[in-house]
Amino acid sequence: MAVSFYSGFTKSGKSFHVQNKILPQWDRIVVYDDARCFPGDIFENPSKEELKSIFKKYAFKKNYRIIIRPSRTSIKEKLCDSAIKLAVALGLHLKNCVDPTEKNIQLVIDEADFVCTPHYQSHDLKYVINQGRHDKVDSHFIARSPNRVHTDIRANASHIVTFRLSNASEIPFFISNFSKKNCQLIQKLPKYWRFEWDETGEISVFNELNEKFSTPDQVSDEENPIMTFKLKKNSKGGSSGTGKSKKFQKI
Amino acid sequence: MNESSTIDKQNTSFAEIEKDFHASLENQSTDEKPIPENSAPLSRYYAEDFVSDSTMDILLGYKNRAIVSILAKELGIEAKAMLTDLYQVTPEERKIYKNIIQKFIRENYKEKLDEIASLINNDLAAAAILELGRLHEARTLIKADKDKMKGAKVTPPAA
Repeated sequence: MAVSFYSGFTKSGKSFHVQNKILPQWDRIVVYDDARCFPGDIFENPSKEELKSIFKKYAFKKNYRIIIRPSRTSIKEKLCDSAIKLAVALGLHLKNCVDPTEKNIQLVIDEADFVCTPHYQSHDLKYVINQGRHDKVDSHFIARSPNRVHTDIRANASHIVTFRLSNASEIPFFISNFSKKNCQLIQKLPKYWRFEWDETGEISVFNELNEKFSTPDQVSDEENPIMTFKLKKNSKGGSSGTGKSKKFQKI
Repeated sequence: MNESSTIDKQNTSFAEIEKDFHASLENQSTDEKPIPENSAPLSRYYAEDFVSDSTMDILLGYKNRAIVSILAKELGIEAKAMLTDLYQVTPEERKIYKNIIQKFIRENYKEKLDEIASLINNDLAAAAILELGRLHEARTLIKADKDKMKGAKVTPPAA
């Protein structure tokens, strides 16, 4: 997974998903944490000198989670660039000085729409998206809407995860990945449910318990886990369920 | 012996990477402003310096329509990719573009246009500047037509 992209409403579970389902698989992690929701070794608005000492301190460590957080007054784009530079330096060090077969560095950029726009990205951001994998850096971008991040992130993403979005069916990028019917379902996703797309073209839907279902657009509405969840919820007067249909086969 | 040489090599590599990392941090420019909400790159770099809002609209309007559709069609490049490429300019190129637009706005664009375009070592940007001139001219003509229409007397149709 060289580039992964996560989107969804506020509090839909995207940062929680990255923190609890993605990052535990990895050893060396650098997080640009704007929303202040990632635990680890936290550095608040580090200066250049602090970043240099962070590199020196962590370069030979086998397991770390460096959290870089901007302050209210810091220029977020600049600090994010510094975090990218740090991740690339650590990745190059891993590749050249430690062991090229080691697992890649994982760079997480939370609230990515604060550090780029659909038309603008910094040179560091462009570099890590396009060339990061050669320096052993995988990147994960978290944003509320795919419309608000740079096209390079969306175009290079080999793994896309989306939680509920209000306008998914109007986003051409999502239609090409998830199909029109699935996009309409993204708009109806219950809380903490998610769609996942990977570079092989496989689309899956997961419920809040992380149970995987096959592609909803291949089944009728009666068999569709999301529609079934809605019906179940309505008939029970708002109670929550796992969303499993009797007809629907869990994978 | 081999182990020792390996360690030396590793230290050298570490030193090199550390040196590059330090240099990249030191070279990071601090003069750029943060990205305003929903901004486009042109407005970010040029708007507050010397370009009025209305001119900015022309530039942005031009950017969306002319560069993407006309040039992309001519060059056979996918529109979005080209638009992205055009934005990926180095700080040095950015300064050149800034001066170009400044010249274009302050001086007589008709006289300077060819000269400006020839100064740019980038076919896309040169074509963009020329196209900008054409758009500016077209808008001036439209404005002149509108002014003319405003001043004209409207004769009621004969009964």
